[in-house]
Amino acid sequence: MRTKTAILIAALAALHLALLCAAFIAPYDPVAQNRELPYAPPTRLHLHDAAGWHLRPFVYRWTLGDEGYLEDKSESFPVHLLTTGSSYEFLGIFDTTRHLFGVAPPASIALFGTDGFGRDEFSRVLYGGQISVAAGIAATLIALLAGALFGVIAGYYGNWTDQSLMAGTELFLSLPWLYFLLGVRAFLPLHVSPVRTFFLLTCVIGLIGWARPARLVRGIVLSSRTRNYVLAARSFGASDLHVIREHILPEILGVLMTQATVLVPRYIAAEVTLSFFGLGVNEPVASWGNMLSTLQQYSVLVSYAWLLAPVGALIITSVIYALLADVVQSRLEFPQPGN
Amino acid sequence: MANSVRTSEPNHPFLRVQGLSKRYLAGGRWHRRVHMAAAIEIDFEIGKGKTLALVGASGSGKSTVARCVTRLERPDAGQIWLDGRDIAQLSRRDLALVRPGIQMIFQDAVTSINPRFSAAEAIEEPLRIQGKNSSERRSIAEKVIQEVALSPAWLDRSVMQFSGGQRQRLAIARALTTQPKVLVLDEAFTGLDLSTQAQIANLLLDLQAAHALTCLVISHDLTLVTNMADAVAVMSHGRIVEQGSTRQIVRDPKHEETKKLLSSAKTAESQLARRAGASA
Amino acid sequence: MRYLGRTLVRAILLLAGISILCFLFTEMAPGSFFDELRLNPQVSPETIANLRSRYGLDQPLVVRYGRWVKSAARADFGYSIAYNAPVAPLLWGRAKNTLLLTATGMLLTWLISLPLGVWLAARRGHMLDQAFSIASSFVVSIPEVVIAVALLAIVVRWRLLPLSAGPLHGEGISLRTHVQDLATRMLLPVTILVFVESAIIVRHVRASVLEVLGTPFVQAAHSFGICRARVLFRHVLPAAASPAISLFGFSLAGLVSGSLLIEVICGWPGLGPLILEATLSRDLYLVIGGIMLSALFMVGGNLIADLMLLAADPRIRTGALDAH
Repeated sequence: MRTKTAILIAALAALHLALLCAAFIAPYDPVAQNRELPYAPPTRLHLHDAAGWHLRPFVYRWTLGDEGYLEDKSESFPVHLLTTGSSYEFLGIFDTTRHLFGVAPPASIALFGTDGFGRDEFSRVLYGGQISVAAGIAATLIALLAGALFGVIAGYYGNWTDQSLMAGTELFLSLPWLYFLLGVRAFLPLHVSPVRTFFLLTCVIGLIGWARPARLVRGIVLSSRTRNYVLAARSFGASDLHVIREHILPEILGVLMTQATVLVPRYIAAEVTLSFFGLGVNEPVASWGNMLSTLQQYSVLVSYAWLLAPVGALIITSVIYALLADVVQSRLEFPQPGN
Repeated sequence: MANSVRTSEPNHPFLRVQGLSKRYLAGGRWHRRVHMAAAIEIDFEIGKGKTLALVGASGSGKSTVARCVTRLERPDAGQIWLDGRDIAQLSRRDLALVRPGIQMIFQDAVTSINPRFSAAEAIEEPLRIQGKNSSERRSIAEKVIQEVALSPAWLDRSVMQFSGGQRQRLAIARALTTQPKVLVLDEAFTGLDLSTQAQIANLLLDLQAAHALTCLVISHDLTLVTNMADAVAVMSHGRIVEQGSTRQIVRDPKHEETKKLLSSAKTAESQLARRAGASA
Repeated sequence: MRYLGRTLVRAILLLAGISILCFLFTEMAPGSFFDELRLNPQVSPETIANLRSRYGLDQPLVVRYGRWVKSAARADFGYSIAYNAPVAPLLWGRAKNTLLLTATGMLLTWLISLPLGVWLAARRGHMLDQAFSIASSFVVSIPEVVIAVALLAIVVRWRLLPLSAGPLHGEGISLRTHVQDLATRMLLPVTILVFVESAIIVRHVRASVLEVLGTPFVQAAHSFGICRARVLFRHVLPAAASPAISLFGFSLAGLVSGSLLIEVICGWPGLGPLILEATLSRDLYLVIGGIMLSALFMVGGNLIADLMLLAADPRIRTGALDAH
């Protein structure tokens, strides 16, 4: 059990690290178009040519002929590690031009092919992942914070506060989720800068999702509130703040953690869905959602299978989170101190 | 509302309860709430350094009395004189000054101490609330943990590692940190096996002698209390139906309830070794 | 009976609350349908002002809400600005298509899931059961969008199912051709629906049957020598029915709102594409109408689930579960 958790956490960390360092790992800028290479298939890595086996993989240029793309075997371009490429800001701290790997121009290395504008799909998947996963995490934080706040207030003060807040959660929980999300998004400005869209998106998704965490937190607060050790603390003259801080918050953290593993993938899905419909992050900024929406065209879907890369990325991310959620859930169901 | 009249009798009772009454609202819906009297016109007194046992069947109202006396609840009527001061209706702020003087040990030590804490954290909680700094808290904790016959080396262990009886000791240590003058034990022995009960009882007797503690022991187990208490008050349906010295009650019970309790208790006066001999 | 009344009142309050919430959101909208119009140089400011007053958008919020409630009573549900028609008929027309899809999907899902769930529970640990667990974990954790696109891609690349476009109801087609055409068009969306929903429902059915199988009374039945099949049908299934009934209610609840994505992706002319379009064009009342319709189904579905549960589970009627 321990090893499984460790592996999962490592996988998740690796995923997030990769996305964080997207600018470094991606050989190209996600918005850099290359009109000469629309819908190019993934660049093939070769280790063997007429001269024999090489240690360093190399690529050929794609040339667009009448029959489609052909490899131009006249010149081979070795793949280099830690090359210089386009400039970017690493983690917003410093400017650099170093990328993990690349090839010398005029060749290009598109591990997942290119899209209609010749943009490198691999780079876009990485950058798009940043947006989608960050949206999921940010929305989760908002939902958990709002939920915890209201849950603590409802559970602690009880009576009317509790009743009205619980009525509120019931309201929100019986909303048709996707419809409501669409609706709320509709009522907010549609054509704003990507930064503002991102901000709006995460707020909307997060705020709609406050209800379930609030309910769970309230349940815990209610049961903690009547515990004997809380009573004992009161008998020493503990204030509400003391009780909340020392006895109730630690209990809540467990639930919040489980909720986080469940909500993040769900909110990533929400962002993907909204962007898919054009209501989320828009072009030219890449997000897994708007990358998926180009797949709605029949011709694209049929001919250019490599554009399904975001599907793969989403599957991997969702599955890791889901497995982690299971593990966290089962750990928290084991008899815990105090139960 | 503070009343600082002191009675001038030579053996004035340290804790004195007069006419204490408390009602609870039962029932969930607004229109179906009913007032249930839990404690009605309770009168008793305990001299300094003495022990009174409050006994009765479950539901007789003993815990209510305990809670009122420690002001976990506010009584509807009556006075509670603690060292000459009526604390029955004190406001929260005034109560904060009084609280260190009267402490409660709860029924189930497993639930009355937060299992996530370490022994030190559990014991020091009242001191944290009072705002003492960490070295002060630590030295007090080391002192009290020795008083309850546990080793100071265990202060950093998690509460989970202590047995039920040891946790009850921790609870007592915790209560001692504020240097109380009155200890209220609400069914503090229930759930412990007999030998542990004996140990704790003896510990309390030693502490009482050492600190001149006035004790109110709530129990349904007459056996136990007859060895600890100087006086007994029997409760039934919210009222005290009989009270007197332990000897009197045991030898010559008058009320039905008392007789019932006595007959269901094991033979009194023999089981527990008081002060002399028994392992502490 | 009281229970019925109470739940009914709660349902109505819930719906009212949702409608108020929706209206509150529209108040917060810093833009509107008319912003798009304003950008169009061919439309004069007077026209815009005219339209605004005609649709009552210049009235205060409370008045607007009142008018909407009145129109709801008249079964209008407000006016669509884009279609220039009352909202309700628009919604209903599309909703019928959606219901056709989801009802079929639901029927098939339950027809498959119930037996499969029971069978898997009875054969716990069997290779197929394990395979199913893993597969369904995948399906359940992956976002619906992703599954829909993936399935679409598979279907399209290997030409597994025919895709066609065009209106559902043409003129002068025979009933037979009509039904055939309908069936082929429904194939893909229904498949995706059933795929996604069965994963969830089979897991739940399996879990609740397993839970019942583990209870003492079932083991007692076994020890009395009652044969396995009999135990399964007469003892296990009725007990496992409760959670299944709630689940059924939830399926009902999602009849209108569960297929939005699939309709849009597969080009099915249901409620989904309509609401999406309305969202993109900020057609206020249409969006609210859509939300209310799906909310109606959700609340109604839950209500029916509660009632069915009441009828089926004697423990609720006797209040045995209300131990405090």
